[in-house]
Amino acid sequence: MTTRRIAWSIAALVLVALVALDRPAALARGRGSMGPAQRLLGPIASVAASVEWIRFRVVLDGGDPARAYGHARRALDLDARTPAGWVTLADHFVFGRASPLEAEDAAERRKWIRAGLDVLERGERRTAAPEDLAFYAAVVKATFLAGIPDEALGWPGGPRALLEDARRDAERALELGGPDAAAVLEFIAERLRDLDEEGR
Amino acid sequence: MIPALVALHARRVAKPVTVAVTVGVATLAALGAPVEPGFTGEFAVDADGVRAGATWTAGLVALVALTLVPAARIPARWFRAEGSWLGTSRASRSTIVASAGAGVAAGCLALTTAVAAVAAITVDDRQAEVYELGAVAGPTRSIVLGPGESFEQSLEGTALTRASRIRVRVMPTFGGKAPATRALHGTPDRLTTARVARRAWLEVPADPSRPRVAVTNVGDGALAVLGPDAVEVWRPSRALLGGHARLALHVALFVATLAAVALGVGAWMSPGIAALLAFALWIGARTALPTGWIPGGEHLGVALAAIGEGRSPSPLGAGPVATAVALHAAAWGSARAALGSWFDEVRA
Repeated sequence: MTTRRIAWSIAALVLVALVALDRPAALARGRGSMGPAQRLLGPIASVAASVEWIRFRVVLDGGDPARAYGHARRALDLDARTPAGWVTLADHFVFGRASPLEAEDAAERRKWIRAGLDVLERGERRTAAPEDLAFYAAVVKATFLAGIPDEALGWPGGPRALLEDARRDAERALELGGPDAAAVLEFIAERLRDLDEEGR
Repeated sequence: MIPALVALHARRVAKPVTVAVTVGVATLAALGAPVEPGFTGEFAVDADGVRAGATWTAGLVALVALTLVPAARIPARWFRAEGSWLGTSRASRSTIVASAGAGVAAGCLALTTAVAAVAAITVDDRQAEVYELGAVAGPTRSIVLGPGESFEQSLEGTALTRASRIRVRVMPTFGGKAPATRALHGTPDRLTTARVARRAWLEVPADPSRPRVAVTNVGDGALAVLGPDAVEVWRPSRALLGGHARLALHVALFVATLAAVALGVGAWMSPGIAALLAFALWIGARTALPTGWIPGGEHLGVALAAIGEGRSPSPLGAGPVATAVALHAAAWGSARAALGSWFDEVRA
């Protein structure tokens, strides 16, 4: 075996060892959630994830949501650290599938909204910027969902429950260092005062 | 043809490192996530089809990137180092070129088989029924159905079984009182209602005794049946490896033909330029010629899309095969012509 081959073999072994010896405590925040493809491909995985998000949109527009969700799943496999992917999917569920255009009754709307909020919650555990997703969940709940008339959504506990949930999300975002969470907390407090005055 | 020469050129195209890189790229594309991505299971997610499609797409890119230059480099090897033993052998120019061409094709087939193996191994859902496209039908243009109006498509003459599936492509459109609508669809005995708020496929099982499908707009909005070929019939498929073997043939034909063209033009210019030219010629042909006849044309795109949907591609048609044979003959002829003066020189 030539020296060159030995050098290449050692380099390959080192690479494999780096990939295999995953010690989350020693890694940067969010890296523990990286799949094998992202660990091996690094920034290329993010580019591949972007392609998958484009395909998600194209396939969704083509009328095949099951396959579109497959692309979304692959995109999140490839790059779970970027919060934008989680937000894209959550937006699709909360603002697309749960819209009155697509969901006829309140129960179906709630199902899709829960799916969207679930995406944000799971994303918070895997992304490199959990404060962004906690902040976004607070904003969606406080400024959008809590404003939907009760008869159209029928959320258990009504707007007050949504605002309380949003407050917990915003507090978490603030703890994690989210820069604008304080403003959302003020907004939520104001809305809760409004509900108190309205006796709801 | 000389078997040893065929094997030599096959090994040059499908070198161990090339096989390893191709399999590595395809495997990377096929890797699923060990962590849950956040789907609740309340709705369908076609992850296997998407994974198979990604594996093949990545594998195809790797195949094209890794086979063209080695194929284009073969004539350069003849001119530089191998003339002394090839030229003094009893083999004719045609034999040398045909052996090289066959070796390149065999190498491409071996690499494609490796990608097919990765794709077939990594797909989880082996128990699921695999379908393939049986027929397409429907109006040549889109039809708009107002509230209460119907569309009916006869499927007389189409081979249907109880296991066949029929699907109709629809979307809501302008002209009704509401932006979304409801569609009553199906075969006469099995009618289903679905809300249509975006482009969608309405899918129903087939009834062989009544070969027709109907869609009625029972909502307040307008409903478009999107032509052409708005109706598709999918039948159970017995394709080997869930259709991966068929796709492998589509891919192998494309890659082998591109490599043969690279070999043919590589006899007249440097390998890198020849590889790029072969690829550019394919892009140009896709733009200017009927893509149904080009290896790597429409049939390959449709086959990749079918695998991406978890369905089996259709078998390889005669058109692309005929074009591939003609292109191989032309490429081999080009390489043979380039060998002329060199052959005379060496034998003199």
